[in-house]
Amino acid sequence: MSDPNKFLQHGQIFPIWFDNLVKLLGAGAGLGGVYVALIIYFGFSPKATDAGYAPRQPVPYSHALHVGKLGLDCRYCHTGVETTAHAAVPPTQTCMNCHSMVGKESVALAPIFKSYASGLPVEWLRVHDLPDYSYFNHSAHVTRGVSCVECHGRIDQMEVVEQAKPLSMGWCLECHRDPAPRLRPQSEITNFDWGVDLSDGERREIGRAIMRKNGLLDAQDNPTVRLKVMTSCSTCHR
Amino acid sequence: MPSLDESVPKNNACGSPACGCTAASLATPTTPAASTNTGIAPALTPDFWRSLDEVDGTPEFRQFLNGEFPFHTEESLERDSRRHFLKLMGASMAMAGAVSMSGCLRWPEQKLLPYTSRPLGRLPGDSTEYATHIEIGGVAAGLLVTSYDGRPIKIEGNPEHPANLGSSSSLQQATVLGLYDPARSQAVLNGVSKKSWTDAAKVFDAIRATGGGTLRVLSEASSSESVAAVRRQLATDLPKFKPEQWHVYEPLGGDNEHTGTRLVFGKSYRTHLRFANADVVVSFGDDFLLGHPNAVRYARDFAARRRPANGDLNRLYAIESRYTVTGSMADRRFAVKPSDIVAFAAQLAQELAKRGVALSGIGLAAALPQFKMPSGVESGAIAALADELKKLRDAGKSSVLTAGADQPAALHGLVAVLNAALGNVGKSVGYSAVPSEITHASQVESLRQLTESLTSGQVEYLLILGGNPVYNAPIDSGFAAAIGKATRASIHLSDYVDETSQKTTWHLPRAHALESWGDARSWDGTLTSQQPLIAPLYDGKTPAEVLAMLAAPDAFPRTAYEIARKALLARVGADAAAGENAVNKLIHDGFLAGSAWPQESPALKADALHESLANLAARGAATSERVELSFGADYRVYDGRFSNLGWLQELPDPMTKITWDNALQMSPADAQRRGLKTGSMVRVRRTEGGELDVAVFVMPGQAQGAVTLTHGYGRAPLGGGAHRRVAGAVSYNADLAIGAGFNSFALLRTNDLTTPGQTVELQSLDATHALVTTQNHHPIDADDSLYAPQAETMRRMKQHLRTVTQAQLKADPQAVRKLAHEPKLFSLWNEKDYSTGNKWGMSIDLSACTGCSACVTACQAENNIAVVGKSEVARGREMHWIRIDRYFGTRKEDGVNGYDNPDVLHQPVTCQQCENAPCEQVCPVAATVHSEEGLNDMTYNRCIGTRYCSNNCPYKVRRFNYFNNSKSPTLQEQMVYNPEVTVRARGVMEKCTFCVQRINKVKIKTKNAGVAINDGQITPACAQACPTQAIVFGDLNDPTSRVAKNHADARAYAMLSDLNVKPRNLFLAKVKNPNA
Repeated sequence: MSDPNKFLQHGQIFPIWFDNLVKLLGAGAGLGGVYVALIIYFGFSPKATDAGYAPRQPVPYSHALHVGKLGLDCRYCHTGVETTAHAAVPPTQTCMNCHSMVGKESVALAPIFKSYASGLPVEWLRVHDLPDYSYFNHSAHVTRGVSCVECHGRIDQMEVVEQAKPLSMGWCLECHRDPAPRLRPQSEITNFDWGVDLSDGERREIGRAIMRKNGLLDAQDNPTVRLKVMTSCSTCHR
Repeated sequence: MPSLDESVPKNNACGSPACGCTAASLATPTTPAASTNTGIAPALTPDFWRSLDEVDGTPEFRQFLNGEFPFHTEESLERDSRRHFLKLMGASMAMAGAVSMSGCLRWPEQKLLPYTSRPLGRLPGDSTEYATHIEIGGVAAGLLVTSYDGRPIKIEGNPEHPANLGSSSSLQQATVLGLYDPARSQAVLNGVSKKSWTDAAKVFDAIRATGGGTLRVLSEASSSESVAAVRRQLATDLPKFKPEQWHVYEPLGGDNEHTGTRLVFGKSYRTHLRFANADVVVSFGDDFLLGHPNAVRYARDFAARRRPANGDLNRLYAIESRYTVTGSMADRRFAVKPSDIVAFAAQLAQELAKRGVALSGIGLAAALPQFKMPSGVESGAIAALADELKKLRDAGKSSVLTAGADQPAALHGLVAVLNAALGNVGKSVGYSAVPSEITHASQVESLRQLTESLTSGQVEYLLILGGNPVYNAPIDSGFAAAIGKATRASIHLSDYVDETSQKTTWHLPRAHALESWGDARSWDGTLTSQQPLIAPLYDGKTPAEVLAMLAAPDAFPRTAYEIARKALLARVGADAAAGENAVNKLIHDGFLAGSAWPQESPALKADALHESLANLAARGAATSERVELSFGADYRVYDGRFSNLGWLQELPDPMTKITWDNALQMSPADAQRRGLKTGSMVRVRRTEGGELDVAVFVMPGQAQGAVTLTHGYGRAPLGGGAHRRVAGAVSYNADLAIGAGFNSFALLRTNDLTTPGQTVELQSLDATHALVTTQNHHPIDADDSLYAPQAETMRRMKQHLRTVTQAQLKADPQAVRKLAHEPKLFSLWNEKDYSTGNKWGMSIDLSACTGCSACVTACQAENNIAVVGKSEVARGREMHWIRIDRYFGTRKEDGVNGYDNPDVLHQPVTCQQCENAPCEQVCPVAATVHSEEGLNDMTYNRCIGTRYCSNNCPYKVRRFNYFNNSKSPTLQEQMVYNPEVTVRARGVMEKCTFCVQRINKVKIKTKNAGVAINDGQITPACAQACPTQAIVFGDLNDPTSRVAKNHADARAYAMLSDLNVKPRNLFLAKVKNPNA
């Protein structure tokens, strides 16, 4: 049996190999620091929320052309946006309303014609995708002064639709806590150019008027239950 | 007798020596007469108790008392080795690194598939409701089915249909799960080889070629105009097919009522009860609140007379042997053997006659005294009842006497005579003529004749439309053996390849009710239409379509749609153009208003009744050796046709609380005498032949000398396979429904159908069967390690269960408040103010709740609640968000042994949405927090599964996902999921949300339209389904809302109010109305 006081006799508490362990721990801490930094860097970057995602669609449909140049209203195609949870991707029939006359020879439109002839859907790729445990309702926003542009960006300038905003919970809550700067008159709801010339203060004033009208603020501009409930969990999660 | 509270040491009623309250001054419960069968000291007997286990203080019960989820240590998962664990950890960390470093965070690419041409009015992602029906036993229920993007997901009652008035039963609601059952039959089969409908049509062509002389049809009961129309066509196309060749069999048919009314009226009638007009209801074994085809409507009408706010309560007497849901609502229940039910009626008739109530009927005076006094009924009780009925009649008021469908025909006859004598006919009782399509004297007779013609070789072709007679025909009918005697072909149309399909040469897949066009009559005769919600998933056909294959080509329409339209057009009876519109309106509404059968008051011609009565009086009754056996529809699987539906299998029986099984219900006294316990196996043997080994369930309230076994269990595996998987249930449980329960039909003989309660011999076996019952789960009591258990239990019982009599309530309107001490409460918290905006609340009226469990199934369907299987339920892990606690209450007024005929009180318990929610205070990750409207929100994606909330919930209403339950069913079964509600993953806590998805839906719709929410516009699934509307939901900040009025009612009380958790749900105390 070895002498328990062996180390003390040599004036050492720790064994020799402990030196190496300390070095290893140091290196580990350094690497850990890099790991944490990377996690924070990527975790907080817009990439983590998928902003900028712009998949190639089966038909190179240009919102810039149809909305920006030709001036189609959003609601011509996205018919459910004012009444239901989904804005709804239009049926092939909607495309054919015009394209049975226009661009009949277009190669790019071939999937549309094929779908119309076969009755099988065009397989569009989903760009804006919320987690399944959050319940977003388009009609609840569009009928209360929240324009398409607030969440989808300048769709009217996009050749290829991309996710313009992070669509993260923090980002949703920014507006649910303070909707005033993001509201606009109901008549301008699909007007992408509205408000670009207004100052922040002016927009906030317009927004507050709408909030008072919708009962989110009382006459003294104090938040009401209707505003507070917008940040309750069950408003979005069921 | 000592009062309960005297037995509690050093405590007065409220537990606080200082308060000086008068809580115990009213209705102080007394102990029942010394109980002989439980072995506990009578002084400690609680007046309300959950089960005999609680009374005896068994270790099983204590386990559930001390821990909400006992038995969690011996986990059934495969044991992972440490090495395996490290390997998995390493792999997952590597994956996490790869994901975060490479930046490929995108979720799987999803595709959007829009319509090519969207149907008019269809809004993607929005639900639509369609009116339709399902037919059970020839009686239609008017339903409203919610369809989501083309998938039917939820069944509710049609609010305008007179049979449902917006409510629905568990059976009706669970039908939607059957649609997606992967076990459904998916192909035409000839033997075991797959064929097509074209092949089958050749057989039908061959039948037509014979002229139909050698064809027999056996159908389940049907009230369909479509089927009737095809039958009329067949009279031409099958000239040799005579009406007698059409046979009908239902194991739970209405034969005895038809025979009984024929005995006294000379013609068969269907009886209609109008509870609104009845001050006293006497049920002779009639389970009209749940076991009746019209139970949903009857429950509504009955409950309307049980609310003190609506005036004086009615009074219900139940004379029955099995403890039924109706019996549990009775103000006075007599537990008597089946043979004594008719004896009770005979005694009552004599007592009435003594009091000068003239009974019309030849020979009754001689026949009635032949019955002995029913045993177990104290002398004077029947006389008192006769006094009451006579007094009522003399005051010009009405009563209702009713006999159960399975009761002997003579009793139905006698009840009709009594109703007439008491002047009820036309006021509280009506009769409608039975349709003339019924060709045989009775279904038993019909089946007998069919078997006879099969055996004598007269039959070449046998066509069985629905039903499962091989499984559920009486054993002495010989039908199962005779089925092979059809020399050319036997054909069975059914939902599943079941016992009958395996005996026939051909099997045809039947279209599900939600895939069918058709029509049927509800109990009152209202013509009810049926429209499909979805195209047949497996190319099934309806009975009318299959029958139409016999009609000459081109002579008659072939599709169910055309047949139904033609039949309905004939019924609406207008000219062509207006008729089409009328049919469209009929299909849209789901029923034809005013099409109920006319109700008559037929004259009595009771000259044959006395013979039938005399025969009954002479029958053998139970002895010390032999007990009387009765059967009955099971509350969950009916006659077995619903046995593949997981929602129903896991639904605890409203009375026994057994899941995944049936059992031989036996009274505690009988069980003790025979040395049997719950779970003991016995062999039931009939002298005439037939025996079955079955597990015993000791059921307080079961009549002594009588045992009951419900139908529908012990099914054979489907499709001839060895395995049986139940729809909607998790797949990791191997014990799902293989041999679930015991096949009552192995004991059923023809005489049981005419005269229930035939005597049998019981032989105890040296074996046990694990019966799983939820009656001990989630008891809300003190931790018995801290308190003298039963004393504390008794004290707290009054904090969550209160009942008064009408007389007490009249004497003191505040009686309910005084039942328990409600101390002045001081809050530990800074309480939030909810006085503005919507303040959602609920009230549950215990006076109206029958315990029928429709709310449990409704909640399961609405909120995607998992079916976890028998072994998990045994561990207390059932997932139901709303449970119905069934309490036994010992009767103090008669000194009757409290365990042999106790009262029953049902209490639905769901999340009480406490304002000071204890669960929220312990959640480490804020996964459960309060909304601004006062709802206790549950955010699943935040939950990390510590289960602290569940530990801290005083009501034990939180449920934990021990497994990945929602992923376990097949994709096809997952189609029934409600897309408005998140499916929960493993390791996540869940609970009732007051159907927040429904609240949000209405809020968004009304705000979009800029209108206010009306009271009643938001209805949680449980409140929607409730046949008696016991559950009311609404805005407490609106003083005119029904729920606010209920909360202000003197009957309202909070469960465990002394905890100051401020529940948003209040109960309205149960009011009973016994004869003083």
